[in-house]
Amino acid sequence: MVFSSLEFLLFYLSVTLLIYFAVPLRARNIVLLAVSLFFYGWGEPLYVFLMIFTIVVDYIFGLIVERKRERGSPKGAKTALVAAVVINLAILGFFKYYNFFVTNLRLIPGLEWLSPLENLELPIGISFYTFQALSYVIDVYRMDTAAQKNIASFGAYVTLYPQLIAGPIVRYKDVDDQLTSREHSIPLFAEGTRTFIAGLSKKVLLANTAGMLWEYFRAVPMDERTVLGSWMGMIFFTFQIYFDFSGYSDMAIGLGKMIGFRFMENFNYPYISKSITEFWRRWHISLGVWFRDYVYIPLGGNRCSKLKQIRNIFIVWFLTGFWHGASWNFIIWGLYYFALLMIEKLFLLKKLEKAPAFVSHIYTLFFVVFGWLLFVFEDLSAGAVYLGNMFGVGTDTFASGLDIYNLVRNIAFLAVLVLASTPLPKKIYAHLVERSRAVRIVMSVVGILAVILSLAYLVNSSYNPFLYYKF
Amino acid sequence: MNKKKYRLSDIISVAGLLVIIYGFAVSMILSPDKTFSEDENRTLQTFPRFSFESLTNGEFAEKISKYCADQMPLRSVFIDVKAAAETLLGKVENNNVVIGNDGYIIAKSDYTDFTDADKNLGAIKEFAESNEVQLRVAIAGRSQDVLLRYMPELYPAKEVSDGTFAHVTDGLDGITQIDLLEPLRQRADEGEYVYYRTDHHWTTLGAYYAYVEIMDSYGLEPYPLEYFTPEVVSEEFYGTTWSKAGMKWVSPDTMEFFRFEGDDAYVTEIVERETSFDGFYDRSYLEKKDKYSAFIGGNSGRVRITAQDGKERETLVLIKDSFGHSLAPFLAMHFDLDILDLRYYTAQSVSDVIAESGAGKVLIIYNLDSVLSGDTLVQLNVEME
Repeated sequence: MVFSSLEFLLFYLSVTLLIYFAVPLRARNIVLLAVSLFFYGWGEPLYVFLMIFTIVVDYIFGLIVERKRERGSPKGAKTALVAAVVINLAILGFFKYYNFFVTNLRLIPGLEWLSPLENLELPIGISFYTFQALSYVIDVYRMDTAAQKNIASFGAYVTLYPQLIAGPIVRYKDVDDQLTSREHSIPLFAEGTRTFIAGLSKKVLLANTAGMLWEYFRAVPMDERTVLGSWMGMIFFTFQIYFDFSGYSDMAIGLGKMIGFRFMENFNYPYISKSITEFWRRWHISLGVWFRDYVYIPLGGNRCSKLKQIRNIFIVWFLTGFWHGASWNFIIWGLYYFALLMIEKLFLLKKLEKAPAFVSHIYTLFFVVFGWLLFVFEDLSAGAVYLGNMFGVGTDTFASGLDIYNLVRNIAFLAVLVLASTPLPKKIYAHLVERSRAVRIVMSVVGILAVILSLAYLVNSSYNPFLYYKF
Repeated sequence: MNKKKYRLSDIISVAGLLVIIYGFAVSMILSPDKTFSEDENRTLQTFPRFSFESLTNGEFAEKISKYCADQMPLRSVFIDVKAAAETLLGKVENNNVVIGNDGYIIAKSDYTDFTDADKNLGAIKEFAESNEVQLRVAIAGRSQDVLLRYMPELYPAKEVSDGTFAHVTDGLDGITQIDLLEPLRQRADEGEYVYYRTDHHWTTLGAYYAYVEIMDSYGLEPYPLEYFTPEVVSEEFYGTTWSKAGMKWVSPDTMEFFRFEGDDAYVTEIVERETSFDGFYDRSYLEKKDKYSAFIGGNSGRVRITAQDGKERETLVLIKDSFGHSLAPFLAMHFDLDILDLRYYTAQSVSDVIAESGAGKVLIIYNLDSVLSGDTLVQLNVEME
């Protein structure tokens, strides 16, 4: 189930909120665990048991690690930690990467007997919840937090439905206190509502619509591709992925607030960045923080020799790429950013700071768009062809009549996308809202209208006339 | 609790969202499920039956999703709202229907995948080679091909259309083709009402012009336009394009029957339903949304139209999609018609039908859209037991 669906909005959300607020405070984590498992099981009826297994394992290991620490056995604690990490990564590795490894290993002479498992499907959200579960055991080991004695509370942390499927990835130490006591109030609920609505609108009104345009341009037959059309396609994808992901994060954060959780922001207007370095501070922040805290710093971070530091950065970006999917294009995408970040670190960053702003912006967006090209084409050769089309290779038309038509009719939408990628709307909103009560009320009403508009787009996407004529 | 400490804007946000989600959830559950949508001409998903199996294989979840979308209260209002929003943003189209000039809305596609088309064209050629009949093929344009004048100014309608048409006419090389594209384009350019504004079919007038072209090709004299008396049978015809577009503000079409002296003496026989009626029209459809089905009773596998004047007439086998429905009355004035719709007809092979009827002439009349999607013409060569 995704948040941007009618069944979630009308049934899941309404029922779970009702139960959640009907039960006394101390029962709320149990309710949260139950409804989250239901949420997960709805889409993954069998893999929900895998998730329960993860919860039980990490719960127990958390307790073991803490006990070993208390009894003055750091070695024992370390062994337990390593065991937990191995189990978690083994599960992730098997379900997400087994077929990738097997398919590639088969290419080596002598290993052709290996065969991929055809029915192995990726459990939804496994990359996210595995990382969350890992962060718990590691935080306990580091004594950043106490082990959670209550399995329901711990289970609620791992399965927390708002961020279960697509983050933000929450570190245990950040929500530890909130699991035990959190604020339930109308102002916070209202804030959550507004964040949720913003996310819903981004996902349904912007991302889905941009996505349809990307699909349109991507599907243009080879012999009718044009330079302009290929660029428009990539640009719409660039917007789609941002509004899709950040919209989803906003919805998660908003839903969290409704039930008293405060999650970290996951996106901070990445497309206004003036360098790739800055871009990655603004894009999928929770993942960056996770890799920093649990991979980069443990490896020595930047408090070691230059060479080791480069190695550490390499590892982080290799893993970042690989985390996004078990396919070469994601690895290349990660390493592409490794290369860009190294170049910036060496000299480019200083130059960019001195350059006129528009130069840095164009530079950044240019490389981000190419990054998305690597990201979206799992088939590398199809990606290469598309890349060629963007530069007039494989097509001799710059712009067709259809391109012009499509550009003109989408120009207003494009302007909305650009504007919505900048902090400007939020700034204006904040500015107006501070000043006047009337504006606040109007804006709340606008929010409700946005929900209705989003519902209209959701209903229409199912609007599927079987036209009697056919034909 | 003291309500005064809350901001009104917060109350609106919270209450607004809750009212929406609870309101729709409750009214969806309380209102009885609708089973059929006339606008879309399809059955709607009702509340799915639960079983352990359907839950574990994901079927239940999928059906619930469809159920929500299909049974959403105020569904058609939402669809209009979306169409209006897209229009206000200057998108010029919604659900692949463009807003044309002069009240026309036109379904269109920009790029064509010719996989099905090539199968269909191959099937026609194979049929021509293996049957000793005089075969003619007439491909009717889609609205987007014919109504160039009404397409948005920036849309390269002629270019898109000509490229697609050329592929099809080239693919029928060696077969006698009757060009219906140019003559109807010309009429449309002159402002004649040859295709409906809200439906993908040609009007009765458009069908008449097609009839003239077909007669020319057979070397026969068509009846002049003045011979007919148009009878307006509906001024409230909302067609398929209208259903698809969600643009409820568009005005309806007018539908006419071209009547002539003695047209009631013909008999239309729906073979597989074993029913027949006098004349060419089943007027019961005029009360429904699907008014176009009034012509020869709409879609059915095999229809025979004969004159009851006792004169021996030549039989023409007409292989058609729904564009043939409004054309048939004109052709029936000259031939006994044995009409096959390959999408529905499976009782006999086409060559058996030809042999049975003793027809020397076979006319395939298809809309370009039917040639491009769905490989129904492959049925031409399928042998039956």
